[in-house]
Amino acid sequence: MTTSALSSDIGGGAAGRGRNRFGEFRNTRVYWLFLVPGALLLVLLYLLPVGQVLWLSVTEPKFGFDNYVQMVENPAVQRVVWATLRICVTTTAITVVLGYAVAYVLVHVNEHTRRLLMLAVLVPFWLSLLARAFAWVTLLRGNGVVNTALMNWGIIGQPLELMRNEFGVMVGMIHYMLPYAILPLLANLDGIDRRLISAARGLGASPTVAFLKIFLPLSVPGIAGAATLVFVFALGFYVTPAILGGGKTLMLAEMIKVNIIDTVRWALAATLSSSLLIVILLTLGIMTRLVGAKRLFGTP
Amino acid sequence: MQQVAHSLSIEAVTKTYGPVHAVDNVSLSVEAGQFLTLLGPSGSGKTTLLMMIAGFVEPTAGEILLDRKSITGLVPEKRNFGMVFQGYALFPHMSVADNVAFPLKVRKASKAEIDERVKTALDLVQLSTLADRLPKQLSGGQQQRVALARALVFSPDLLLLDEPLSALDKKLRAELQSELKEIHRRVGTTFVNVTHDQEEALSMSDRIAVLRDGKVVQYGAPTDLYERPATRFVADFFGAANFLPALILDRDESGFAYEVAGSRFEHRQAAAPPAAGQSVLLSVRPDKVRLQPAATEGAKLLGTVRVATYVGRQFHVVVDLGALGRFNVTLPTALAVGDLLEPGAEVALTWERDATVMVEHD
Repeated sequence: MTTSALSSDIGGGAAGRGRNRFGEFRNTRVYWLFLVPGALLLVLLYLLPVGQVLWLSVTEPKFGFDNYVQMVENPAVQRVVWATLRICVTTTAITVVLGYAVAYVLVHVNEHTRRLLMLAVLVPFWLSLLARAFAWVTLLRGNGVVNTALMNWGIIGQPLELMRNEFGVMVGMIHYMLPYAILPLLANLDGIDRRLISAARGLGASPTVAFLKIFLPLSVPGIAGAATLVFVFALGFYVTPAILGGGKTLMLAEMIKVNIIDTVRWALAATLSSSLLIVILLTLGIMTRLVGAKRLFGTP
Repeated sequence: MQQVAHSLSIEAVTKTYGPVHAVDNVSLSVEAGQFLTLLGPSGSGKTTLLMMIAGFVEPTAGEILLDRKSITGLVPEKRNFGMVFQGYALFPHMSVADNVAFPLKVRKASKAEIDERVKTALDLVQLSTLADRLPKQLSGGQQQRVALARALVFSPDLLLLDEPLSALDKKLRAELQSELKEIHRRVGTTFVNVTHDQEEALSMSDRIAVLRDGKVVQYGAPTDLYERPATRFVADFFGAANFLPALILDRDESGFAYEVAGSRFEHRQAAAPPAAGQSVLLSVRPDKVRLQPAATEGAKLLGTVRVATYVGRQFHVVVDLGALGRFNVTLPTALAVGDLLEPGAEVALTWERDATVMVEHD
């Protein structure tokens, strides 16, 4: 009703078809207005500061790429970048493998079991990152639940070093990111025609061969999507490594924080931040090119 | 691709899902090299039966034998059966040639043998020029042919087809029916086909098993089933039959006489005709009924034309017989008389003494 009233005011005596199209055009313009508040917030509170950081990295103290050269040559930075990459790659690999197993089960169980399992996947997803990191501290610390239990059962004599190292950081990160791997994998595996597996077996393939030759190749886009998401996420992890690494295992995001707040070396902090942003955008760009945005992010 | 054909026996096979008997005590045997069709409406158990032959579903009771050897407990990949799935189930990430090569690769055939067999199989279905395409680049009919080549390439002991033509349009379906029959003749393998389309079953099969509610209602050659349906269900399934509740008047060695709506008709029957005084159900096909002016002499049923539909080669006429319900009559366009086709026209229906078939109520 509103559309036709509006358009007849504007269109005057125009033919029905033209008026209709004009009306639709106006409507789309109205919808764009709805995006303005969000876009403004994003520009003012996010894009401008990020731009400022980028600017800082090439102007402090003087214009040029000196900061980047110094960063690359800095042994402390090299150590942290190396540790970050190692943790991120390992975490991504383990998360995707574990997530694949869960998603595989989810697509093969009946509807009822699937709903229950989905709840188990999603409940931790809704819990605060901080609460989960401290829960792991309770479990993993020297006199924590795990060590106490193992010592009481006489399996170990001395408490194991389960946190304040890369192991602890990875446990916390994998736990946090599992849903991010499971959900895109689930979308992908759900789309694979299950009759293909029956067909493969009918044609003489054992269940293992049918999985390796048919199911696995068809889930590659899902694996790539999940891996990209988890890896990009892992690169910028801050809270979990800070708490479970206990200051001993330093990752990039925490190093940036240290340089901003503790040592006040803003030039280095800005350069590190910019580099991290560029690496993330590059990863996303390359994966989108390779797999295609639609398949990568699982748009149905 | 000519190969040794195998016989298949299904002995008292039952499959239950909870209280439901999906397949209920079915026994069938197919001779080596025959084309068997399992025909029935949806829910008749025909697909469940095929899946038990393929090994995807385990029977609750009974045995399935290939050349008199039980295969009941064997997993699908150990059965060496080719199968064409509904919707084809081609591997989307593999080319046509790789799809066809798949069963040979999993059997660890040599490269040379694979190449040769894939070529022969693709030639058989006339797709050699499309070997490098992906399935999604093919039309429905072409995908169907790839599925067929893939199922035949490894010389399976049996070829199973699950509604192979149901996804195709009518014209293509007719084309592929004759092609499938020709391929069956050339490879000589025993085929087991599942369909709900009686025309497809009639045109391709050596034997048809009509299934209903998990049971085989009738099993025989296409002409047997079409000409001599055993039950009302079978007669109706093979094309809108008409049914007459008839009273037996008397009998002799060549058949019996019966009464319907006050008229005396004769029926020719070799085997044991029923005794006088019994009530029986007779079926008569629409194309065997003649439409005549109401004044016609002799045994006839009087009725009123409701509607006459022109469908090209023939007219479909619906005649209201009052208490007997409605009768379907088809008559060739060349024989159609204008006056008798007008809605409301009073007409007489007659038929020859060998046009009727006695069927069981079911």
